[in-house]
Amino acid sequence: MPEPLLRLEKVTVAFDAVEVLSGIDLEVRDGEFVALVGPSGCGKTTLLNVCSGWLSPSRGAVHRPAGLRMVFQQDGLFPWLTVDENILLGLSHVADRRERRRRADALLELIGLRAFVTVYPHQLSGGMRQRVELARALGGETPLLLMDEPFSSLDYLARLKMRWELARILREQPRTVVLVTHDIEEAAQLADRVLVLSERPARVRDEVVLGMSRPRDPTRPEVVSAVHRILTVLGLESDVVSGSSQTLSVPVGPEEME
Amino acid sequence: MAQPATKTGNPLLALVTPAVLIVVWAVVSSARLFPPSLFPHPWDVARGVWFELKSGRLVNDAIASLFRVSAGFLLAVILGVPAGLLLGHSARARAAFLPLVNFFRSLSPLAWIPFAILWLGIGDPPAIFLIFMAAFFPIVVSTTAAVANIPSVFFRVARDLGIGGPRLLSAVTLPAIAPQVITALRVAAGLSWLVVVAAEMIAGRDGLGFAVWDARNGLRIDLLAAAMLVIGVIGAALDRLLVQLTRIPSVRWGYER
Repeated sequence: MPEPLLRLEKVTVAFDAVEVLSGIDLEVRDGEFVALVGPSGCGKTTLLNVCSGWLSPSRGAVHRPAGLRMVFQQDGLFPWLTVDENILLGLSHVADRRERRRRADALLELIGLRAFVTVYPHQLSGGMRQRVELARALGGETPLLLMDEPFSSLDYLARLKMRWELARILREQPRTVVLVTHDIEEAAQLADRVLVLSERPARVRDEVVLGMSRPRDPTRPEVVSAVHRILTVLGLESDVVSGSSQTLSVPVGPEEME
Repeated sequence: MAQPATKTGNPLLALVTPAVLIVVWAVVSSARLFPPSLFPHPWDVARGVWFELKSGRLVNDAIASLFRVSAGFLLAVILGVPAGLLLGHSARARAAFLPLVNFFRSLSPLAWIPFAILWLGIGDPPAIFLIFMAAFFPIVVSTTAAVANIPSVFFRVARDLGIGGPRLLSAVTLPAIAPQVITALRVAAGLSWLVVVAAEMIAGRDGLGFAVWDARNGLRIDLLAAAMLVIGVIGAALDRLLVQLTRIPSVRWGYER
């Protein structure tokens, strides 16, 4: 079996006396899409910060590839740069100017924003901004993308659309992804594996494997069953399950959202 | 796509309101509600402006004042922005220097006039010193706050993209604080213009402040009002000039949220 791309061994993070992560083991293999879900404030983002190297664990070890890129929940685009300049910045490791331009054009094509090259981020919608941020992150040659609730600031329909966009983009530019999300349905629709974290201090309470191609119809029994299982692990099923079945009956593809 | 903010309102309004004010001024003055020695007629003031322009004194005074403001203000920018960058980035520097900065910025620049004359005599140096004291601290405080408030996500992105060292300053820090610093520069320039007039009244031999003081000593109320008019017009023009900085496309994000 090949070496995992990202490996966390018994990672514990404590701020003063408060333990946020407790003995987390995580292995992410090349090409996998792993989602981390858990109660609000349980330490999902802290775990992602440890994965990225922004935060050092109090105990344990982290093995990560070089030059990984992150997509953030809040605006990570530089507002003083245009869409084009932001994407080109993500390609600054490419020495040849023409090649950089060619790759930037390909990324703009990929995210469908060629007409917006001279526009500044504050003039774009939230969904467009996230697509640009994704394109900038994809510009790196890193095989690993870390995504911290990238769609949480979007409205519901935009979130649904972005799931399909992300699935499409990853089909064209495959990457290994670790996604932190509070949206269980999003995790079940996109991830190969969903790790369910406990209340703080976070431990991995369950692992749900979804071996299906993306994007998934949210009404598929396997997806519905995964959502129910995650909700059960989180102790929320009795409160949410009736609502979730209603939620899951909404659009399955972007064309149905037009 | 969100629409950029557009200008509303008629630019002619900017001319109509001063025109109305001048008409009211002329009516009140013509009605002789106040003696002409205390309340000059706009026509007398216009004549005073023309007289001072013809003699060349008004232009020389305006140039002298603008030179002092430019020198003191530029010195404040050259030293104030780097000082603010240092304080904004370093908690230790903030702990050491912010109490001093707050102490000095609480002092009216005019309180320094006696020391300025004692140390630097009269003429350009004391006025430049006073302008520097007026502009430096607001620039330091605003730059410090702007740097301290840069969202940490920008630095994380910069790290991911391999931006570090001096390039971090030019590629992230400076553009991220530019809108706030431009606003601070406008405030500081306004203060500088206020202070140069006061400084020249007391420690000057020329300049628009000196012209005000000279007219007052000569009981030439028309020339006094003429100098005030020119001070106001140049002050507004300076602000308009700095407003142009806010039109730079890469800083518009700071004003169009």
